[in-house]
Parts: sequence; C-alpha cells; structure tokens
Amino acid sequence: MEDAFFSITSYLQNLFISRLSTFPVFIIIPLIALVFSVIGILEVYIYIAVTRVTAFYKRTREANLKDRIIAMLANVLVFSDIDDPQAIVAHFLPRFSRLPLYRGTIRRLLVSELLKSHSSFNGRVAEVIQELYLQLKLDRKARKNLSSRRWEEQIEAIRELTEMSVKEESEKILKYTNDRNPSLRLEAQVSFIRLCIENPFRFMDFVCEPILEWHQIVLFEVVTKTESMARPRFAIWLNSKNDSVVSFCLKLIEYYQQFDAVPNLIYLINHYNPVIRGAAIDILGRMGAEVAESHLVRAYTDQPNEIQLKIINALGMIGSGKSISFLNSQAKSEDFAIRLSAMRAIKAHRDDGPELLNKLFNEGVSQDREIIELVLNERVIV
Amino acid sequence: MAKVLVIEDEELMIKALEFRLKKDGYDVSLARDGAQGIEMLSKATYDLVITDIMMPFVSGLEVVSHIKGSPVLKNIPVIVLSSIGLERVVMEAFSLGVDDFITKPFNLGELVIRVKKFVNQTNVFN
Repeated sequence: MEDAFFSITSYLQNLFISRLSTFPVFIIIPLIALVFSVIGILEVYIYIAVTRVTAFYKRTREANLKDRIIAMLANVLVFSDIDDPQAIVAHFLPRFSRLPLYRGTIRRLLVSELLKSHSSFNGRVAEVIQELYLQLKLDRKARKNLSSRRWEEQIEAIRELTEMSVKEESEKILKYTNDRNPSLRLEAQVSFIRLCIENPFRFMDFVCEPILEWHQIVLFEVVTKTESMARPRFAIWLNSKNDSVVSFCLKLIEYYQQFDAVPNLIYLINHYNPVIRGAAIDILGRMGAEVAESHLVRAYTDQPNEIQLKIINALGMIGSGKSISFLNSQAKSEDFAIRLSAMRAIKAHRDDGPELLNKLFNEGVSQDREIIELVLNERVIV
Repeated sequence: MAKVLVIEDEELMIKALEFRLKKDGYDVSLARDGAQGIEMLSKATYDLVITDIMMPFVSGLEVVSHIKGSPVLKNIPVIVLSSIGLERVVMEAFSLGVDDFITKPFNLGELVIRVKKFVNQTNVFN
C-alpha cells in the first residue's frame, strides 16, 4: 500500500515537475486544468463533509437542549397547577436563566415551546408561562421585530406578543392595522382585537385599506370566539367611508342581533354600493324589522332587479301584513323571478297569505297557477 | 394503580401529562402516534385512554373508532384532547363513542379531575 502511494507520488512529481516543460503546450494546458479540477473537487468534498458534521453536532446539541427545555417546562406546567404561580416562577427562573439564551436558536426554541404551552393550557399554567416569558426578557426580540423591515418578521412578532398578551404593544400594533400589506394588516387587526379588550374595534375608526372577504371571516371568528371582549354598537361604523368596514359591521350587527341599529340599516337602503344595500335589506328582513317595511316599499321602484328581489324576500320575512297589497301587485309582474318571489313572500304571511294565494290561483293564468301550486306545496322547498 | 395510556405527538404535552398523572399516582404509558397507541392497546389493558386528534399516520378519531369498535376494548373510557373545537369534529367524536372531549387550551387540574372520575367509574364497574 505504502509502495503504491510512493510510486504514484513519484510518478506525479516526475510528470509535473521534471517532464512538464518538455511537453507541447496542448498537453501542458489540459494537465494543469486537470490538477485544478482535482483540487477543486477535493475542496468541495471537504466542505460538504465539514458542513455535514457541523450540522449533525448542531442538531444533536439542539435536540438535547430541546429535551432539557421540554423537561423543565413540563415541570413548570405540573407544579403551576398545584402551587402558587409567583413561587413557581421564582423557583424555575434561575434554571431557565442558565440556558444560553443569547444564542438565537436556543431563544427561538424556548419561545416556541412557551408559545405552544401557552396556547394549550389556560388558568394558572398560562399565567406562569407568561410571567416566565416576560421575566426572561424574551419579549425584547419580538418588540424589536415589530419595527423590522421584513413583514414576515413583523407578523411573527405580532403573533408572539399577542399569544403572550403583551398589551403594552397594542398601540404600536394599531398602526399596522391599516398597513398596505394585507397579511400584516390582518395579523395586526386580529392582534389588536385580542389585546385591547376595552376598545378592540378602534382601528375601524380610521382604517381605509379594505377588510377583505377572507379577512372578515377570520376576524368574525376571532370576535365571536373571544369571550372577554367588549362588543360595541356596531352601527356607529355603518356610515364609514370604507365599504368593507360597513360590510363587516353588518355581519356583526346581525350576529349579535343589535336591534338598535335598525334606523342605520334603513339609511343603508339608499347606499350607493348595491352590495351594501343588498346586505342591509337582507338583514332588515332576517331581523324582522317592521319599521323598515314602508322604506323598503318606497325604495323598490328605483332599484335594479336583484335588489328588488331582496326587498320582496325581506318583506316576506318581516311578514307583518302591511305590505301584502304591494306584494299582491308584484305577484302580477311580468318578470318571472319577481312573480315567484312575491308569491313566496305572500305565503310567508301566515294569516292572510295562503288565502290570498288561493284567490290569485282562481284569477291567474295557467303559468301562475303552476307557481302558486308549487309555492303552496309544503313538501317543496322553493 | 390505574393504568392510563396517553397518545399524543407533541413532546411538551406528553411530558406534562405524564408528570402530572404520575404525580397523582397513575401508571402512565405513552404513545407518540395513533398507530403506536393501537399497538400498545393490543398488548396491555388500560383503565383510560387520553388521545389527541391531530396526529401523524393514524388520527385520534381512528384510535377512538378502533377502541369503541372492538368488543374487548370498547369499555375503556376515552378522553379526547383537541385544539379543534369545531362542532363537526366534536359531534363526530361523540358519535364514535368518546366519553369526554376537551378543547385546548384546557386546565390541567380539570383534566386530572375528569381522569379521576372515569377511572373510579371503571373500577366500580369492574
């Protein structure tokens, strides 16, 4: 083996030192290129090997630290449930302080486990976790990242501070509720609603960026599932210049059945945006707002077909009987959809509806009779 | 000593449940996913099973279905832990025969009380 190595070395030495100058140029150039290629490949292999070994040791070290952190946290969780939270924090704080938290990976690891446990447990356990997080000053990085140039970091910081209920940052988060980036905007709005319990919807006073449909779904879920939150009169935002704010408030007004919003809803019957107009009419119907009937009838003529259908449906849902003559006139409309909706609305008037439909049946042409039969048939859901 | 099987994939949760239940004197066995849980159920008898819903390979609901569908295991009470509190999921879990459903975030002390209740019931019936 040793002989072979020496014979190869002496051959290469002979080739590149003694004989190289004797070769023609077209042999010298490929030989030099070959040497550089071999050196390059060896360097790459060494680099890969070193990187892999380093990564392996890093992973192992991190896994060990993670196990240590999890074991420490599990102890905190168990005792938090039994003992006084302050005593638990005082007992465990020195142990956590000994962790090398100045290293980014360790800090991230601990924060991630603290966030997981804070979202999994409530009561005293959650209090202890929050106290540990604050006393270890782990919130510093998140607070700093709130002003980061990268929106991903800002979102991460907002999530962390919200989960750990760092309420002092709510004012700083408030300014992002009107950010141009939709993801950051949504995150800030969700966070503000959860952090600022006394006035969670303050951002709707000034937000001019749209609350997108999917934002509204997320926010609606947060609002309706956060128990300890003040629910204001959402009608105060119905005259907002931002249509998406109006649309979101309409959903909340209906969900919380805020009947004091009916006058504001009536005002929206003449809103310039047909989507808002339609939504307001639907809600008036579903809330059974009798006072809105005359307004709906008055506004009917100037509306496009789809809004007219909504008005008829709303009148049917209100079903007070005051608009039955109007519905009767619409049941003779030339438009099939209007005729069908009007007959359904008449039927919804439990007292006089079926009787009036029978009268129309006797007067009607054959096509109307078919519609009336369909509407009166209880087994058919039209 | 009552035997409790905890099926959970999250390390911190599994450790917290293990430490807390052991502290109250339970013999706790751990499974890191549904498949391992089912395997352990076939090898030993338990007085109670606590399972998460969202797990790799075999979900918590599949574990419940396996337990409640087996003539041998069906009497073991099952408590489901879930971060999904959706009505549909809760309904599905109860229709499969789950005995209790706890939504995260939950109170560890409350879980221990529920465990105690079910273990006492099992001991009375046995």
